[in-house]
Amino acid sequence: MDIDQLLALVDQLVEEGKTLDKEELIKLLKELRQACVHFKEQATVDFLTGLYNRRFFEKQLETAIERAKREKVPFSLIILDLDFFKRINDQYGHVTGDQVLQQLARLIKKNIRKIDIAARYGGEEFAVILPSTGLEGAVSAARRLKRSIENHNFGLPTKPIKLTASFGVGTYSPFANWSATEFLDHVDHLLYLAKKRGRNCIVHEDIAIQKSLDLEGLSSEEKRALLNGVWDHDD
Amino acid sequence: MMISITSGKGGVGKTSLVVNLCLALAPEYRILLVDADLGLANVDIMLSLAPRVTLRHILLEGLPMSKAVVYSGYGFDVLPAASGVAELVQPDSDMKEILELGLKSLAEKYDLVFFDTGAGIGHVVLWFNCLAEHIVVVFTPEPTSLTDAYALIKVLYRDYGRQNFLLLANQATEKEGEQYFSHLERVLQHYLGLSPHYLGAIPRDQKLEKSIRQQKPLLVSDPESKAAQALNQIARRLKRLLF
Repeated sequence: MDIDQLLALVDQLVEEGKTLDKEELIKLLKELRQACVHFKEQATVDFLTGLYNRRFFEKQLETAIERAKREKVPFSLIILDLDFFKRINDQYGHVTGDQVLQQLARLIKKNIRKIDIAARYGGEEFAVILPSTGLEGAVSAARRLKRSIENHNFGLPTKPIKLTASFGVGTYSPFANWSATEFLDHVDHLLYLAKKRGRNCIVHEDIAIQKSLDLEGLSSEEKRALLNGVWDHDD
Repeated sequence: MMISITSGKGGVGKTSLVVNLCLALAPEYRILLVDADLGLANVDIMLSLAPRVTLRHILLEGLPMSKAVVYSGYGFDVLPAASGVAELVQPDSDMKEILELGLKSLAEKYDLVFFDTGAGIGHVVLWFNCLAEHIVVVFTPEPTSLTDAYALIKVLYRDYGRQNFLLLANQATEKEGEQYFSHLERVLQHYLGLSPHYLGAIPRDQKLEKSIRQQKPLLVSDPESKAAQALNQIARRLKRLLF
């Protein structure tokens, strides 16, 4: 039964007093259940890539912000965009373009944790929410993704297609008091900066903090600054 | 008002410092000292208390938090942690909610609530530092203490958005304290754009070590000692900054 037939049958039952025997009723409920599952999936999943869609992502972002505030734990957001994707569509056609996006979705999934939430945010723009993750963890994840995209052949072995992506990475601190839109705009702006800086790079937070962000906690420069100097004053 | 006393590195003399600070402020304010090292209690030992109800009973057995509050014997109250209870080292989000609600409602009865946090930059330490309105970072004039204090401040600023830090030098002469503070201040300003406050230095004092062994606060056992005087001065500065 298609959805119109199902709805008509339900109308008959509710409004016209039609009755069904137990077997028919169970069959109807099963079909209704299947339809619900199907629509629920459609409402949350991006049809092409199988990642979550934008609507679901935005809901999850709201939830993540509520959690960050309540539990006082930061979370991070990565937004990435394929560089020069339009050229793929123009050069190879939309079928290939779609296949590229599907492969990218698989690469993203492979490189994030189970608790992370990956979504297709727009055409060739993807977003990943990383719960309970500070900036360092998020930048590491972005670096991992960037490398795996660079190393991946999106075409055939005989006709390779190489691509890169640009990344904006932001951390929501529990005291930021930003709305979801503000935070999203912030990370989107970082992505824009990455594009402006020549693409195939990661931009996170503002420059002042970037100065102090190396991979492991304190940068060697910071350690030097902390440990030199002060000891010179010693008598 | 909730204030956390924290350090990054352990063994910088935080607990005896907080106990004495509470004592110095006790004549003027209603004070609660919270042992925020949830699974490895220290405050009750330092004050030779033998609490029957601890945070373990609050968080694991659902007793109201006020039941665990005990009088220190020195003009302020103490909320003792549990000793050797592994479940409390990593409290889950339910336990944190109980803690937050309980502490906030307890705090209404006090002018000042101090958190004596554990060492390190684990979740619980960060959590207490987020709950507090003011953060006092204790350091000693040692390379590891300095880098750990900086690392803690960096995480709290970058990932948690905290910006106001009060620094306190322990086991340091006045001159050492000022030198190390201004150095730390320069690095914090350069890399993070932060301008911390300085509360002062507490000198090394054998009388302090003796008081810890005797489980009696220095301000009681030897109020005229150099360290005791420095502690009183820091209490006055803190008062000026907070009120």
